[in-house]
Amino acid sequence: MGSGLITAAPDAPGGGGAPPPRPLMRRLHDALDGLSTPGGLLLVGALLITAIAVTSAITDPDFWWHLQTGQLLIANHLHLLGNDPYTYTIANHHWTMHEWLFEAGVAALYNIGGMGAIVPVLSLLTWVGVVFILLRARLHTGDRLSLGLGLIVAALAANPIWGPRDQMVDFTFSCLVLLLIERYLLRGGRALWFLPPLFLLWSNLHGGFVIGLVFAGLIVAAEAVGLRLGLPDRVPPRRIATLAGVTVISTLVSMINPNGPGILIYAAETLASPAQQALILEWQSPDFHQLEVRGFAVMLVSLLGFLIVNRRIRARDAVLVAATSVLALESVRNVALFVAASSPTWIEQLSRLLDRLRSDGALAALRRVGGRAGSPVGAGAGAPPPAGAGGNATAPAVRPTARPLPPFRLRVTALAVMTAALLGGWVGLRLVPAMTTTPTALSYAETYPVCASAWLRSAPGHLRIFNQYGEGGYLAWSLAGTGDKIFIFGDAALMGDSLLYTYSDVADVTPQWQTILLHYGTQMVLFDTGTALDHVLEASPNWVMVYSDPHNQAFVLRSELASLHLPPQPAPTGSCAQLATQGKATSS
Amino acid sequence: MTELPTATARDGAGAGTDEPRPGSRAVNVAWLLGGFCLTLVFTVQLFRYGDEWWHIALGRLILSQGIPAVEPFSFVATQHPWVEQQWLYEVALATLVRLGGDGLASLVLGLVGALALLVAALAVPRRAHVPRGWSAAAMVLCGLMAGMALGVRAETVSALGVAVTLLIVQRWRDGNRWVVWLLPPMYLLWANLHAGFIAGLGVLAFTLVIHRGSRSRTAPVPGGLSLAVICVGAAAAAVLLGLVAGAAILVLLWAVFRPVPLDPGVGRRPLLIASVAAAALTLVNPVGPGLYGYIAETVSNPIMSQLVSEWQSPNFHDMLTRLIEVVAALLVLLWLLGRRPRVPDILLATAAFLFTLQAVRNVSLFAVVAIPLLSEYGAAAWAARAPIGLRRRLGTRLPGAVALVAAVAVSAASIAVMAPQASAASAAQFEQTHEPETAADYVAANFPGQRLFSSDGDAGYLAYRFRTGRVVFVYDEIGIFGTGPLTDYLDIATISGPWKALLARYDLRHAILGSGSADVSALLELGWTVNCYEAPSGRVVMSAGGSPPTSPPPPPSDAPSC
Repeated sequence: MGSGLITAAPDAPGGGGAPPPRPLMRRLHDALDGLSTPGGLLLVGALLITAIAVTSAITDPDFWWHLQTGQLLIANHLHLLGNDPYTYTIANHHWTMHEWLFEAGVAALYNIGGMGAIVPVLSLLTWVGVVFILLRARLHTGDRLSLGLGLIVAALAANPIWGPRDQMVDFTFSCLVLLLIERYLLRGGRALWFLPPLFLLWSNLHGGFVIGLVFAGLIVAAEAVGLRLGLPDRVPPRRIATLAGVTVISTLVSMINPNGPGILIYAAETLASPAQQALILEWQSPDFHQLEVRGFAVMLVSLLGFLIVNRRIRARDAVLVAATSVLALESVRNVALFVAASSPTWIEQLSRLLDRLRSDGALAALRRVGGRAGSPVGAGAGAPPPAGAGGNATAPAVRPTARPLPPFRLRVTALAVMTAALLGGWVGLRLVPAMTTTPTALSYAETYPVCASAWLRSAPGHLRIFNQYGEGGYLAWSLAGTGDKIFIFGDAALMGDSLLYTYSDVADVTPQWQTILLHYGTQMVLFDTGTALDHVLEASPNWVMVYSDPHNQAFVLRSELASLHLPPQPAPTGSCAQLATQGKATSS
Repeated sequence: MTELPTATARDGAGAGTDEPRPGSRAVNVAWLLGGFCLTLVFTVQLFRYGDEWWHIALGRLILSQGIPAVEPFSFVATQHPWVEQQWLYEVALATLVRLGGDGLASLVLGLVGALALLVAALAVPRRAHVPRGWSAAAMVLCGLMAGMALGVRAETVSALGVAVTLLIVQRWRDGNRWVVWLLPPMYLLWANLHAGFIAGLGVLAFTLVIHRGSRSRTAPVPGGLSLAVICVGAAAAAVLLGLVAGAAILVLLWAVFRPVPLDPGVGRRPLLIASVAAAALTLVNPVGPGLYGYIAETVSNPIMSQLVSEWQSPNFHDMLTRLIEVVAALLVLLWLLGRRPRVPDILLATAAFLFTLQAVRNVSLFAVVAIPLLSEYGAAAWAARAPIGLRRRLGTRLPGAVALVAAVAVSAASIAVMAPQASAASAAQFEQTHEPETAADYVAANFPGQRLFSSDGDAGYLAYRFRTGRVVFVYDEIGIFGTGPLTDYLDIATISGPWKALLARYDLRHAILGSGSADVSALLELGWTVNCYEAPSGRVVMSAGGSPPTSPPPPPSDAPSC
């Protein structure tokens, strides 16, 4: 390995020679000193801004059936349900409950504190993933300007995906897996052996754990090829072999779950489903006409720009960036994976570019702002980069800051004020409103059949209801115990491609729509107001409207109206009254 | 980290390849010939764009009566004045169809498309001495990618226009000061062929603003600060205003803060004067400056991306669309492996890539921009990275005659594959299976002169079939209809809003629709009846006047054949 190449540090238990411990007050002082530099302020601010970005009320339509399933699991002493209890269409489908532990956990939280308990836990889970991204990036650069900007760009890029939802398990665990692997490849140590238990847990939380195995496999392959081709940033072969072995062990361990080895092909089936890819919005390619997706485009293009300027990238980083870019361009939901895998590379590439500019004397202003920490957050500025971090090992030395920083107390005061302001904003504007949003709130009534389900609960049960795909989850939860069954809900893999296409035929009002409804014995259609199906039902002489609010309308066959004994639509109260008022205002 | 060495060759010179040896000209010609013929397989296409039918109808109308002053086919009152922005293309297309049928039009437009790729391949610096094998490979790869946006359509002409503009700009960069005077007549012609000339003007404007004149000075802004302004400005514009705006702001800010010096001996003034003259001559068209208003209306119409799929972002579930990723990734890889790229090349490719992410129809623009870059930087990367032994073995050139024979063989095989596409029989079969041919016959026989509701795509064909009488609703000349009629059309087509009232307001009593469409189901519930079913294309003819069904109606395909 020649000079100027990134090299991995020799194996050393515990990650290499650590400096002798310092007194607590001294460490605290150093931490505050580093964090109160302009770069430190930016980094702290970015971390808190990401906390704001990832915190919101629950908007995932699938959340509701996860919650209901979790409650059934708890009531069933964690015995898995063989078939789904919600639909009247796929009673014979085997249900691969790949999220059973997540669902049970969500239900347990709900039983403890309702939405107020779920929102902070899931938001924190996502934010911890962001911290893992930061830690992985810090293995290669201590430039706080790059770290701060990188976190903000990452938060912007994943904007369409953030929120308390099950996929965030994959995001956070992916970040952690990549952090552990990167740390091991650079420094050695034993932390890599956390991977098998991690995958044991992950494979019981969500079927997306396969992406973690894929990441590990890609890294092994990239490093092996790099070794074979003699690429300069080589990792000791023993570490690659160890990582390969741990990946195999993790794969085996991940089979320890109630679904057995079948869990491994579950994800592949989902990815290979043409119906899911075509019909479900978040599986479709990003639509760059939409504001919220453009952050991803900016991150992708700027990353490529940095690469072209710097002309340096590790093989494993290149492979991860390429793979996750392809995934993200294919399905917008995979933008989270792109952010998880590529953000540290973005940060490192920006840091490299800034180093280049600093060495050219071209960035005097930013020299102060960036300030190099080179050591974990909290350590004093100007400390050398961690052993074997490599990323900036070849970077030119940075000249001392041009101007002295303000006094320590003033800087710490600024840090405290900024932190308090952002924390206050996070708690006051995001966390508390999200925690206090009840399942019957107006925001949900505008999105889900909140009011319609209240009416349905007063009706005689055991109805077979054709519903909108995204609302099936809410109905499954809100109609629990009534005996009502729905046509479809958001577990697309359980539904199967055939039912998805059949649903699409009805929702898109193809000529066989009525035949399908009658074939399944549908008694009621509860659908979104103003859609094509809603308008056709209104026009049809065979169907009669039995319920109407600004969000939903319900129809039954005219010939069955009398036999269903449906109650009259009640006068709206609470959020339903607000919704009705809104609807009147809109129509007028 | 993989440190990629900077190539020894200076910018634009010696892409890392050997100087041409005697006999290599024949080999280069053979490569280009082979590449050209191979791309014909992708560019010669049948009339898969429904729009071409109304263009043919307009061409015939212009040939017989001159350019119409108002929109000639639709019964809808358009919100914007009629702009005949591609009259010359339409006349040419109608003439080709009259002379040799649809097949001849397919062949000629296919040749134009392949020529665009070939011309783009030539737009590399002369001193780079790019082996044409790289050009041929780039042509084939990008031809396969751009095939989704080429074919029988005026956009193919615009692809050629952009390619020729790139070639002229490159020759100007090479030091040829006279070549720029090809621009004015070319743009005069192009502005009468297709509004896509705006992309060519964009390339010229880009070239002019990104290069610093020999006498001008760099803006007195520190390099790092200027980069920060450029990056933040472009990112903010991309997020807030869209990717196209982001690309434009990126180029503009770069031009302001970090203009690129021209090579010694290359003057900006000839290109500036020729470009201004070219832009001025684009006003010489039947509507004069109104052409620019039409372009602005078309591009800014928010309904465009809802109505026309090619104005939407690429669907990367489609394998051919994946080639956009492949080409972009290949460019980045070559820029990493080979010599450091020139800034204008990066900016132009980035802009074209962002345009393509915004609207997949821009993939042909991305292709003609990418071809010369892939050729040049591919050759440079090969020279910089490939093992010497492998280079020597592969560098052993075939004799010119053998190369030409091989090229002719490849060309013959390509033509053999492509030729059936251009035959009259396959064109007729394609029309029968893709357009409502017999359904239109049925309507002509039973409901002459009566208004028809159809999809906007089918309306283009129906305009071709019913050139008089104004029986057609909205077709894909989006720029002139305006938001009102387009929204009305979308309300009916998607069964939303006041769709029933709109049927009455437009006095729509007959329709030609896809048999599986929601409109058929909706109209059946209103009591419309299916008159006939056209099996090859899956269309039905429907009419109002029946009574609403009391039970689920039979499938439309059970109706009598048209």
